Amino acid sequence: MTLIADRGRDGPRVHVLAIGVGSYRHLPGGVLPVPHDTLGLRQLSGPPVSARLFVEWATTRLNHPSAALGTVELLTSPGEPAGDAPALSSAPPTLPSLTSVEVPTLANVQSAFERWYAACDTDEGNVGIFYFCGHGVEREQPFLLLEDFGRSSLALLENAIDIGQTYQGLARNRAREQYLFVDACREIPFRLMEELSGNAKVLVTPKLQPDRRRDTALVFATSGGSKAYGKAGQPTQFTRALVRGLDGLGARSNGPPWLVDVPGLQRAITQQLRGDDQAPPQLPSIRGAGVGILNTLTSAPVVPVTLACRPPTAIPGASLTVSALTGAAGFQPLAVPQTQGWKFEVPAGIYTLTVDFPGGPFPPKQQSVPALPPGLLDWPVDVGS
Amino acid sequence: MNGRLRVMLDPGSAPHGQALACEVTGGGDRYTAMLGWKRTFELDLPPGTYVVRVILPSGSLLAAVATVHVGQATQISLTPEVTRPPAASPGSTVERTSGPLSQRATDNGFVGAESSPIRPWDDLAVVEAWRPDVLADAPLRKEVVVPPGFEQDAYGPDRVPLDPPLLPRRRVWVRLWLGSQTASWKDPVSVSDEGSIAVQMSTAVGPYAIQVGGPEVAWRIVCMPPAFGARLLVVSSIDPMGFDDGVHVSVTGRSPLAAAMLNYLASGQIDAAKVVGPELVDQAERLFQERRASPESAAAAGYFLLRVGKLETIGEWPEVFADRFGWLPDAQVIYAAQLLRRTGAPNRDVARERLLDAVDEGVPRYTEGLRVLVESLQALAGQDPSDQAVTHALTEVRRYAAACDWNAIYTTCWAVRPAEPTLERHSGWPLDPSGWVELPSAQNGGSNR
Repeated sequence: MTLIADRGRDGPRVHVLAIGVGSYRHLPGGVLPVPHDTLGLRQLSGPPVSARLFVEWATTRLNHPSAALGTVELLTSPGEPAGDAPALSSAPPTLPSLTSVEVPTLANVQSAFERWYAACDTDEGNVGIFYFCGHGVEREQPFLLLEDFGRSSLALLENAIDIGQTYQGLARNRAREQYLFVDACREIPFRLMEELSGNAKVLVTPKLQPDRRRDTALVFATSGGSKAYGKAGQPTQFTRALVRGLDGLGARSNGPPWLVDVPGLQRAITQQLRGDDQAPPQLPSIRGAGVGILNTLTSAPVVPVTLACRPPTAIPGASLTVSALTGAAGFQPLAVPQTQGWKFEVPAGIYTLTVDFPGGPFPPKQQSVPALPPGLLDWPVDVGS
Repeated sequence: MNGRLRVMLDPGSAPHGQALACEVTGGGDRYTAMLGWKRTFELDLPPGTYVVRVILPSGSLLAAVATVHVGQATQISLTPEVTRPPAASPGSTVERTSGPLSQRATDNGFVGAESSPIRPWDDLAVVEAWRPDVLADAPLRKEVVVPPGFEQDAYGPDRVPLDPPLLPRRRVWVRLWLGSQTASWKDPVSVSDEGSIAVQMSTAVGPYAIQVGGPEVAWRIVCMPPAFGARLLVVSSIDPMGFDDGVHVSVTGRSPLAAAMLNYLASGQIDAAKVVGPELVDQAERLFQERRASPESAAAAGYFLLRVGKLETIGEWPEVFADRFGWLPDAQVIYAAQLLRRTGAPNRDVARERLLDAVDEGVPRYTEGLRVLVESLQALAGQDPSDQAVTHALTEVRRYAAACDWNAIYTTCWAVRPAEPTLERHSGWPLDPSGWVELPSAQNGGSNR
């Protein structure tokens, strides 16, 4: 058991279980590779880093409106950060005094899940958060592959989780708010489908009973039949977008107070993944009826703004100044250097753009823009008319 | 004293045929409204600066800033992003051909395919879509380009492997099914110069599905909405992420509210769904009371209420829906879901019967219904593993679930025929002549035989 945080189980609490599976013992390159076909899957290096990034957010910045942080448990493989892992391009996880963590085999995950389930089940006001990053496949339900996946060719799915049925089964838990984030592929080619023998583990069996959960969401990094991506040794595309969304890009537009809710988070993740031209296409999807608030911010979130100048050839001769119209108290007018291409970040609010052309040929232009979460992308600024 | 804010959305470029949720925020307040088919609404607001945002089904937002003055009307117009079917590129051409195509016809599916002679296609109308801009130097299906440094699985991006050799044109056929039988197209089929096939169906409401396939296109079944006047659009696609296999199929019903609801539910935008939901539910209930039940509205309303846990609040209405539209699996699924979620004592036995009835009627029309059906049967099977009928039904439904596109609004499966979903690639021309339906004359210049 690796408890990253244990701040109590009394009253409404947020309980987090995070799993990052990067090394798979039975896949090629693992410690116990098997001779049979394991769907051609390979070792990964991003999931443990991603899980740590998520856990870092939970332990340092999670601020649920009605439940304080309770427990945070983490399982990753490898259990220790790789010494030669590439430097992270985003803020590196800074988990306190963390040296090694439990490895996410089925047995360990089942035990951790039962502890998490029990902690969530103590109070209706509790909030359960489940996070998984690793390999996944999809048949009639999405399956999450654990560290000991692939041991037997006779039952390839024996060390995998049926997250669809598990999500249904979680209706038995007393916690009224439950959020599950799944950062895994949901694809398998037809030719390999028949090899998905056996049944994946349902961590809590669904019962025929009313679902009294108030806010639930099962958020997938990618849509059915598609892949999820990440750069080697770095947090995945989805997890980075998820954490940025939780940090404020998923906030409602009518702050303050700035509240990150599920639909806003979904839109924030979608926009970030769509806007990344350097990464393969990936579109998140979601089940459930969550409109609940996951996080509250004490200050306005910083949002990205990119402007599309029409005509684009006007940019070199233009001078752009951004000043606050409403919100963003204390914001000093910002002169956006041309070297950044009309791309900047500002605290959420409504701004006035002033575009001057000291040397002509266009007249000055003023325009109001709503720089609100999840940010403005390619906002048109017509200067030619 | 207030001022008036009038919000308009350009109807010409808005997402077609559906309502949209809209929010107006300012001064710490949030107002919601629905943009219906008129694409406009008005609000009386205290003076101040407001942000107007329209929530699109795709998850994107349209936004504008408006300043409201005392006693004055402020009008803003939102110009949405250009929406069009995925990757329907300009320059595509479609030609309807007639006459023998036997020289280039192939068959690698259907009954007796391996030993059957290639049929002449004199009696068939076939659509051929040329995509010279895309297909001359590229595979039919766009490869996902994975930049260096990204981790990916070993098996590559193609869920359905391509059939080499890649041909510089795509030939597509479309046929209509009513239950387990093929049916005649009674409506004009419009073939555009931009690579699309469109049909607006005037057939009565029923268990219709269309099937798309071709020598280079895997066979696929797409359920039609239970709506009079449903529309079908088939376009070329190079969407690298989807189920399309080079051909995008879009079906829409006739209810803008239902379309909006289904899209918002599919994209997880429950806040937007809740803006549209009350009117949709009212409309569905009203139509039932007036004995003019709309199964399209009822199904969308039912799935909305199921998703937000409010199915109990509508009383006996799902039972009436299921009884009146017994042929519609979704009606049975919604009623069963209500019974299973009833507070106090879930009515397991009746729910079980309704779920089995649903399976007997075929696959649910809506992907949401297929998911609920699978999960409900799994729960029943888990509670009583000895229930052979449930086990059998679950096995049956799993065949669809394994071959389906979970992102689609209407149930979409790789399939040889509606009752035969498949995990193998079937492409080519069907052999069964009775299963073929001749496409009627195109409206805009296409010819037929």
